[in-house]
Amino acid sequence: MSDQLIPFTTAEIIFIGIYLSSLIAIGFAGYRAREESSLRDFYLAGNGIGFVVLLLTLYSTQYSGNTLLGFTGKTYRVGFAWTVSIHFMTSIVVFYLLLAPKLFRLAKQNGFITPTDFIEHRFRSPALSCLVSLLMMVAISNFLLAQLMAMGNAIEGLTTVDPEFAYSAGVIVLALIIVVYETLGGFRAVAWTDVIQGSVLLVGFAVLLVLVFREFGTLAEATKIVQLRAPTKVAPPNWIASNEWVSYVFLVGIGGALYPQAIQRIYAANSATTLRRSLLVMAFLPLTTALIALVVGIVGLAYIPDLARSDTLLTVICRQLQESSLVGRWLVVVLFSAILAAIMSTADSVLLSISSMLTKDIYAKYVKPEATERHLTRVGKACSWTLIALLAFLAIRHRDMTLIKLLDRKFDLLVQLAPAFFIGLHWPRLRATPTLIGICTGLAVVFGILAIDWISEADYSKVAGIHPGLYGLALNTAVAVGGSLGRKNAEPPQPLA
Amino acid sequence: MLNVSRIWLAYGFLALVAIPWYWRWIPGADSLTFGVPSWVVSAILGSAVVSCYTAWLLSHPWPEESLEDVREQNDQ
Repeated sequence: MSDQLIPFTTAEIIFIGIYLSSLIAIGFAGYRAREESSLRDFYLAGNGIGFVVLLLTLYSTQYSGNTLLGFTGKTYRVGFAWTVSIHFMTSIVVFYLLLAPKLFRLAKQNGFITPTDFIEHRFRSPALSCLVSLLMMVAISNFLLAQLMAMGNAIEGLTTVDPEFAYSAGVIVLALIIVVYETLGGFRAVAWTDVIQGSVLLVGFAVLLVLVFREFGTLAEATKIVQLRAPTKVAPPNWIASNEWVSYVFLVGIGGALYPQAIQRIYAANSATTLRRSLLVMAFLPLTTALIALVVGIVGLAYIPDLARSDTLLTVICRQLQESSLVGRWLVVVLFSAILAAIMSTADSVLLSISSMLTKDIYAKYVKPEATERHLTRVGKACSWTLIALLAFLAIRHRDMTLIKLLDRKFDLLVQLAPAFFIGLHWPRLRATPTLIGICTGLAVVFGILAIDWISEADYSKVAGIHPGLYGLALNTAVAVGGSLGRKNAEPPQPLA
Repeated sequence: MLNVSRIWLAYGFLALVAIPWYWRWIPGADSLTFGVPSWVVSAILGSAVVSCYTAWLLSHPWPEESLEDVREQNDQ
């Protein structure tokens, strides 16, 4: 069974080309719509964005290439246990409730641009601010790398040329398109392209569901086949798997709410009403996306057994759909556009977020504090180009990790910021020094466990089903809270507003 | 205004019910309902209830918001 798509015809490639060109055109429209040459205009679209744009940019940023390729592949590997993906995607919105309302108000009052602006406002500690920026950049650079690898994988099977060449070309061309429209229009271009990409993604999920049922049969039949062939993939979770379930809900819920690109979308909402309405709709989207990925994974597990690489499941399904009819071929083109949309919309948001932190939190503070807004905006664009070039190189040279592994590690790091943001927002007595020490302690725990996992033959990627990040977070929180309580008179509490 | 502790207690209870940790002791957990194992239906329904509850919370003013903010939002 081939895990390569039938190469696209010229007409199909032109369709994809038009779609990709429209992204550049939107970037140009974003450039024309700019109000001033300032960081706020470039990174947050000036006065902010309305309901539809905010909803679709949140959606297409949150649901990445991992949702389509990684989630279907993971379901293929573990079976119905990946129902947890619906829970953890929902939990992100739940954790937003702790963060969004207060953070939005503070951002509007104080003109925040990067997530670290809140940390600086709240704790007034350069060391803590710097650590938070670095940690966020490292964590989501990993995520951006995963998106670039997904781009290469998506393009790899499309042509008749050498797969390695197609992969590399896919990474380079798509990365180039992203960085061009982002350089032209900044956040405005990213959010507007997200509207198209989010819409294509929604259509793609619907098309995928219909096609899979039409081509392979009902979910009930697929479940029965899996039940016979691999009963453990249908069984309810044992205690280790239950721990893992809880771990995913907290790890992804907290980590996903702390994505810097998501925090910047909280800042970018044009009103609290817009933000709340967008989050309200977001609460239901896991039932239309993660659930569909789960269904596709189960159908694949039933009808396409023995895949060498589970991450290629969607490609194999697409191949069969292409072979079925002409309509199937064109629907695969739509589906392929949705996959590209999912990957690119996440990649552009992450890239812009890293660029904003490099420029505002590092360059403007430590390298050239006297720089003008115009100069900083130019530096931000240069940062995007440099970063994408570096990560594209890494994506081409190191493509042996599965997507889901990259997903796990990113959240282990990001959750260490939870005390600074969640507790820092709601508890005035939380102090900078214990928070800083707490983050370092949490990171030490994470890297300690991961080091043991890497050098040992046994699997310590999760201990008793719990991710290393949560062990780190528990100790981190204890140090931050305990330390703050113990330093009653050492530092004055900072105002929250 | 909504009571914050009650909100998080409700989430705790929903998580307890939605996460299928207890299904391994229930006979027939992997019998099919709507084409999937019963425990999966329970987990998906649990998630749907969490979504509805979250949406309901997001349709209300949040405790941190002052009356002035709420008035401003209503004006818009």
